[in-house]
Amino acid sequence: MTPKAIDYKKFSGKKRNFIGTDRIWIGPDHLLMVESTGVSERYKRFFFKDIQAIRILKTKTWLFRLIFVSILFLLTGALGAWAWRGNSQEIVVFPALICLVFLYYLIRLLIKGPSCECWIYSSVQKEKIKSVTSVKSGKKLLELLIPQIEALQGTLPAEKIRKERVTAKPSAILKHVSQTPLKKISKVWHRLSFFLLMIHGVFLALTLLFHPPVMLITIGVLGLSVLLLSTIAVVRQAGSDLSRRIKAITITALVFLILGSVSNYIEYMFFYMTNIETWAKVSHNQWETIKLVAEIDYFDYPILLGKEMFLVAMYFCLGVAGLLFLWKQEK
Amino acid sequence: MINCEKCNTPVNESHINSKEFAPCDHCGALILTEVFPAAVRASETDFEQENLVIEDDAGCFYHPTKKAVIPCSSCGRFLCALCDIEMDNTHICFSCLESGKKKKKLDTLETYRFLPDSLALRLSIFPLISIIFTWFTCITAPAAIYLVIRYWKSDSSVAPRGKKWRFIVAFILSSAQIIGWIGFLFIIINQP
Repeated sequence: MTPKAIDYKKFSGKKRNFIGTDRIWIGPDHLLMVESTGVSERYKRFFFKDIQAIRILKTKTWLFRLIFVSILFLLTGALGAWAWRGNSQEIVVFPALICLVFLYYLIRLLIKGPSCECWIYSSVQKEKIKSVTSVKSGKKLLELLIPQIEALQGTLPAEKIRKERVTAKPSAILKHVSQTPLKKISKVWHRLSFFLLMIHGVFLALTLLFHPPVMLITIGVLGLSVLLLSTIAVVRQAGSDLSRRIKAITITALVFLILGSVSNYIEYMFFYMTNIETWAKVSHNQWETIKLVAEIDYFDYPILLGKEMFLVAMYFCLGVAGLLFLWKQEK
Repeated sequence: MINCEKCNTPVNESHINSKEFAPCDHCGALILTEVFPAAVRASETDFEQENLVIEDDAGCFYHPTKKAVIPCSSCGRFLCALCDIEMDNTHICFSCLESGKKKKKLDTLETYRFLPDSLALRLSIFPLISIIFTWFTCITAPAAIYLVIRYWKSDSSVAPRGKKWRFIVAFILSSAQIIGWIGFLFIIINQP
């Protein structure tokens, strides 16, 4: 049998995952789902004559993302405005850039519209179409697929739905909830890490104004503790019954903590290299080094100040959001 | 029974095929449900198995006592209704299906493909743009060129992709990197 090229039409929209993208293509007699890792692809086909049902479930993800991005946009905008009014025009650059990024995401969310999950049923599988994430694209997919499916299968009259008591399988093979049982875990680690993250943000903000050596040590210990707790929380939440939002916030918090630690290290190297004579003398003495760091006034370094303010905002917002979602799930 | 995705209670039948989002009677989740005749279709496995009545009737190659209904369009063997596999508007037997899958002659059965053009492009670009890994271009550039030459004629994705542009870009970038390395080594060697 010689292979023949199949005429596929690309369906707009793709879902980016950590390493690749998920996308769907519409063929003459089937739907092709492509899961890409960047260097390889996996395919799943749904033949139109076998499709039993397509369902779109509206979700609140879009709303939460809209609120979260709006808060960050307003926060960074306020920071930039405060810096501008305070005659510190150089500081404006960093929060202004971040503000523009959040504005872009806000506009993108508004254009995309409400979010959804799209599921396709056949006699042996129930599959989520990952690349369909908005109601707009879900409805567009239905508009494209329904005529093709009905051309092969015909239409289903309402009397038959009532009469036959329609069953979209698989009900014997798969359940409608997650197939693998999720483990119940204690939320203590998450609660603690979000709470300390919030406190860390507050202390970091205070350090910008008052930075005695003791404060820096406290910040250091707090930062390490939050990093450790977040790592434990991320490890424990794998395969757990925690909501996807909480898991996403935990991972985001860990990423920002790591980025914060890396940026602190780069800062330290910057100050070391620019004042190498002074710093080299005390580098063997940790206490003297901390005292030197305590003497740095962030208001003399606008970019560093902007970075610290951004981290403060992120830590505080992530901590509050995490605690809120945990409380909501328990409710 | 079709159940709500969130709370697993049966969906109100009036909400099926209504073309609009309707709230679940139990949890209020907004769901749009489209159901097709395949959901109520009788099981297709209940086909009649005809036994040979007359000795002169052709029998299935795999079930000699069953009456053949169609020949395999690939190997020509006679097949009964049970052995007949309808695919891409043709009828084949399971042996031809297996061999077609192994020899990658049946596109509709392929579930995995390696994308050498994407790998070549990434090998030529990523070490270059990441400052830390720039030194690895001495390995990744030749590797990218090897991939281009080795897999130039092979099929890429099942889905339509731009013809060969990834290979071309990878080749150009990798060649430039190799030339750069040669120049760098030349300068090092000829330094006084």
